[in-house]
Amino acid sequence: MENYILNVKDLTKNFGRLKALNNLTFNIKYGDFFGLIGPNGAGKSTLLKILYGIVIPDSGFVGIEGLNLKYDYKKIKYNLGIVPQDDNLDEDLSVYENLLIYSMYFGMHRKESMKKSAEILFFFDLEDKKYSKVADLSGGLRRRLMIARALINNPSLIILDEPTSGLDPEYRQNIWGRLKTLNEKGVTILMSTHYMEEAEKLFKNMIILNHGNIVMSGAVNDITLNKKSLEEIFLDIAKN
Amino acid sequence: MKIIKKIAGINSNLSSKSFTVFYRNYMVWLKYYKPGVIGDILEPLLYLAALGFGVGKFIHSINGISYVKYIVPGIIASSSMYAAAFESTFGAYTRMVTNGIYEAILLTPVGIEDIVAGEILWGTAKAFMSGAAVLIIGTAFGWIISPFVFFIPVIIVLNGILFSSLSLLITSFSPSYDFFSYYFTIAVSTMFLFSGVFYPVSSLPYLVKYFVYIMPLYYTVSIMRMLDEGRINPLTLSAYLSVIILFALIFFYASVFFIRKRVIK
Repeated sequence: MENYILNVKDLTKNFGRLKALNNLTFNIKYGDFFGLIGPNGAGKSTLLKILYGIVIPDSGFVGIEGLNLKYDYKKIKYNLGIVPQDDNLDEDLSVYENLLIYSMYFGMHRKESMKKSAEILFFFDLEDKKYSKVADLSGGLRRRLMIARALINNPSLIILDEPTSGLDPEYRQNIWGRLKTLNEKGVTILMSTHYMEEAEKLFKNMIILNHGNIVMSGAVNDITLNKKSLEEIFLDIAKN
Repeated sequence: MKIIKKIAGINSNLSSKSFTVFYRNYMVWLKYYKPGVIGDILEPLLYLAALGFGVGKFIHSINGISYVKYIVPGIIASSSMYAAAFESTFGAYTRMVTNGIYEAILLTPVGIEDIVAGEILWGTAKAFMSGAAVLIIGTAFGWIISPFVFFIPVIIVLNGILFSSLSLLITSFSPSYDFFSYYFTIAVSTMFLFSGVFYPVSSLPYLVKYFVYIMPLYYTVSIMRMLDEGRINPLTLSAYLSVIILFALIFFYASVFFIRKRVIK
């Protein structure tokens, strides 16, 4: 268990009659770039929302860095960077203010926040947009800011829910490069996507979900060993 | 027993992070404060001028006090009620539903309890700005001359907490902005007109008078009037303060419970 940053055991969630997640069990190792794929409605977002505390599971266990999410969610969040699917940047504030206020939620001091914000703006090539209002940013820049915001607290695990959804290829490549760099620096990443090309390029290990069940799991290379591509596997699963 | 456990849970999760939620709202307010301040401060002053001088021409005194002096404490209480109510309904709804700010904050170590407490602090600050403006004007014009005037800001704060908590509770149920019309028409306006802001509640018909006693604003107006007139009955004062605090606590815990239910699925 010590090698795992995330442990999920027998996780179940129902919305009325709909079984969103059905007894999911999987672990993620430290330093992994772990992927989550599956057709629409497979349960990807529900799973991620449980991990970041917006959805409460009906049963099961989630442990992050040895802490129980049910009881220690506030402690856990100090080491978690989260990029939800829906854009929830603070429209009334500038790019820089978004980072500053977010750092304050983590209890960071102003000097530390300013230093970290400057670093992040540089890393994401957002320095020239520092004082721009969020409302004036393009879709791609907003996504970059969402990811930048999730890094403000130096997280050891970043959870991203379809971070490149709806972006043009240039912006997508740009984000891939930055996520790869972060992973190379030792940050564990858990990410969902519906782009198979993205999954093949980025993920080391992954699970494929369908109807709330894990239908395949393992290293990406092992999963694609007997088939032509991840896309074909995905289509086979989606048909069922 | 279940309720006590829930309250204990809320208390143990409350932290100083609520001040960052307050600070976030303050940062945004600084960008747009001019039109807001004019509304919050000017409107109660207009009421004071129109009713105090206009109606005051015909009603020379109530309980031996000139009409304009009589309505000042009520206007302080009602203006702070309105400021808190607007901020914690329309403002809070925008943050919670339209802009997804609560969900963004919940991705950090800030909990629902902190968000609610921060929102109530912010609503109270808005209430204070509005109530204090009337208090300052009232004092400057010599309409408030009691030595107890310095306690009025404390009651404005309590009134702000009370009405921010109540309004946030309403927001937790609200399916849309339109829903607030019910709250403002049925609750807020009724309190404004019947809680003794403009005339003594004792002049109301028997049944209506008892209906007024369930209105939280009645208690803050009464305390402010006691302080303003310098006629303090310690027993009544402590009883009314207890009612305000009890109302505020009930509304606060209920807000935390129902906002959690709304935001976390």
